[in-house]
Amino acid sequence: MSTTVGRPSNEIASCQVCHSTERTRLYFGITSCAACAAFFRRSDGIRYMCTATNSCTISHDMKFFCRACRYTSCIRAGMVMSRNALATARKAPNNIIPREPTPRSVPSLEEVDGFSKILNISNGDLLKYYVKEVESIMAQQRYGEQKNALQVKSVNDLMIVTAYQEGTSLESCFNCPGVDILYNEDVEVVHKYFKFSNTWIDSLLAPTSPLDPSCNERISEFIHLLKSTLGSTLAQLNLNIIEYAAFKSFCIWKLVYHKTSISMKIVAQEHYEGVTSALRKYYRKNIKMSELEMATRIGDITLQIITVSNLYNDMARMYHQTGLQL
Amino acid sequence: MDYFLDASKHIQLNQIDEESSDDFMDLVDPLAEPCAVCGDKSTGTHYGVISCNGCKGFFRRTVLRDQKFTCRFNKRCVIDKNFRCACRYCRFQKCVQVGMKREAIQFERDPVGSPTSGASLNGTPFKKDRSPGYENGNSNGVGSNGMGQENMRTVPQSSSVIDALMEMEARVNQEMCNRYRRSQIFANGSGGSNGNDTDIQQGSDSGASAFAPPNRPCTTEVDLNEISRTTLLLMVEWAKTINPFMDLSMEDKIILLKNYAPQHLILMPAFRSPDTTRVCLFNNTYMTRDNNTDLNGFAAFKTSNITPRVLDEIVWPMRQLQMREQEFVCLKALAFLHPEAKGLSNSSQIMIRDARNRVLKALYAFILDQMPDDAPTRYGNILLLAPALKALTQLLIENMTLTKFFGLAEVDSLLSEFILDDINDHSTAPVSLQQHLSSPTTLPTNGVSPLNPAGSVGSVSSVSGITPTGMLSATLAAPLAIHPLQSQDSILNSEQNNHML
Repeated sequence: MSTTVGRPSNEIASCQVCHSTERTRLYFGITSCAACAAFFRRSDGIRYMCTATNSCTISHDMKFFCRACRYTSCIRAGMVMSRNALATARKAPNNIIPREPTPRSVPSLEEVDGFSKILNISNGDLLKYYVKEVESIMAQQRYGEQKNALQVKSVNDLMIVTAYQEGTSLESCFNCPGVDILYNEDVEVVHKYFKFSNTWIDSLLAPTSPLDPSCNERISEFIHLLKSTLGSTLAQLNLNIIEYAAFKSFCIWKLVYHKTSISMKIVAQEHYEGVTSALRKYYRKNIKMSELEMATRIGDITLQIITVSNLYNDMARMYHQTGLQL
Repeated sequence: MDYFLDASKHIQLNQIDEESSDDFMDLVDPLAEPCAVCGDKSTGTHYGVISCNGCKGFFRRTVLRDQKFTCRFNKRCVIDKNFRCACRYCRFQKCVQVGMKREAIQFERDPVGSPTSGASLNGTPFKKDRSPGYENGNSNGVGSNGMGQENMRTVPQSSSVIDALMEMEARVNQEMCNRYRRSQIFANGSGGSNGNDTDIQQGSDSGASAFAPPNRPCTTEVDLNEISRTTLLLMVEWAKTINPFMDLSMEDKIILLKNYAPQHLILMPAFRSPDTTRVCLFNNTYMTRDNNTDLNGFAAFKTSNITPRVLDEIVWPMRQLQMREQEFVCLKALAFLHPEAKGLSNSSQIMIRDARNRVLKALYAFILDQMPDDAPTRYGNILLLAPALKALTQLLIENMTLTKFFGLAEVDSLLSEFILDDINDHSTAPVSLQQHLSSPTTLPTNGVSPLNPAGSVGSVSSVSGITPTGMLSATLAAPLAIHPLQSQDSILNSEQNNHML
């Protein structure tokens, strides 16, 4: 019990509290180790009580058994808490100024029309591309060049409509920014989405007559589903031509029904961010919409992709049942 | 040295006697038994052992941080009230020796203390190196009593929408932990946990927290199906708290639930997966891209095309965005409130769209408050997770339809009622869904045994026998409830049962 570690040679200083020779330096006026110095600093204002007889042995491996005797040994060895020195050392540097909250203003970078390096087009021009596409389709519908998919009566009629859309959507697909840097498999996926959008979603733009009773059962079922879900929603949202163009770009690039590559995902993300940025700029300048209304509107349009994804699944099933090629 | 330690032990014994006499004279306290680890005054049973707050917290910190200690003496240190901090190796060994169970730690909770009443959780749940704060000494471990269902219509602030969703999320998570932990403890104790039939399993099931990394790959189908059932039942309870849901008709409720159920099974584990190499499930197992060959052939066929896409299209964007839990609960609500689901009436569509717009406003206001510079980009990226989730849902439904149609494996009837979109069942609504919707907030106690819908294709096996959850309920003799007061009572009953055992 009364074992004491022998004091080493005079060259190596040892802690006067626990006789340890590790990391000993001048602390609080005496030679002590860093552990006892930290203990003494922590114990300022704290009172300990020994559960033994106040005569515990303090050595470098037993000093933490009794904090009261350890503190007593620190005092007995001559440690003095110099309040002035500590107060000076703990004073905060004068050059620290409390940070003011960042002003909540729209960054000036957003006012400048963004440019997409991947697509090699500015955001405004990207949205203009889609607006031009929609205007072209509406002109075709007005002059009767294009037969409305909602008015087909048989599988043969549907084949004629899809064959016509095959060429039109292929041309739109190749003219689309960013398609030139994709792989062939991804281009085929984009082409499928273009065909789906041009055939079925654009048909909702034109006013339609009631469904013919002699229509094919599966086709009429799908047309009824298309009208009751996406048709009624678009009527409630009441999109203008610019909003519809943005919505159509979302349908083409963010359907994610098929598995695609990383580059396809990157190009799709560029399209979404470019179109939404241009749409926000249009809302802010032309319609004077507030920030929260803008976000709600864009959120509403974005979440329509869920409905379109459901419809794509149903269309694929209908094509499979009627023997058509997707 | 031995004399010193013996003298200290002698003094400690005197103190124990004094404390016992004081307690005996003052009051009759059922917690008067001392801590089995260090002899201090105990605060109840923690991790299966009567222990004090210090040893309880020490054990949990050691397990959560997976710390390893080394004894500087000869591994026979005395662990009592005064010297329990001297050697952590011997203290941990004594915790294990007196019976503290590692499995009893509920990893989903805040690792240091409990959240105070009314405060919402901040930060991502995967932050392991959280600074230690004040440790709550609540021995029951029951969460704070909530305010019940908030009426979102009368509260104009958008933060109350997120607070209500966060509160319900915490309650559902806690209920999931309670049910799963009890069945796990019972299964480990009895050794006979094969009461379930062999059922088909899902590609992604409800996920567990990442505080304890999953330690083995997923190889059991029975656990997956049980977790799927529990997840779906708790989803119904969660849906009841979404404000316009209870105002809808029965048909519209079922349409919304069937539309959302497979998305729920994908969303819950995806949020709790820490990286894109594996999907973490609730029972501390995981599913990787290539690991599904360990399952049988039919399960591998089902999950081989879903798990990589879940990791690529759901988990990876969540980790890139470092999605917060407030944003996650908004995403869940947005996926649930889908006004264009097939068959919804016009009045229901308008109500659901209004509720969804409120969630959109709350989400954007939250993002604008957190990081105002790139709020539009972050907002758009979070919203784009919903279409990707829906596409994966269709893949899941196709897998289950093919499996059921060709009879490759037996489909659990509850899962098929929630997920499969059978055209024949459109006319007659599923029976168990109606029962769950019309029942009060108490969850069923003896497992789930739904009736088979008439004219279903293929063989559908019911849950026969007693599931571990049912046996646990029968043993505890207390119904599991998601209401805070009832839940507190049942946990108190379970505490007393454990105390008597």
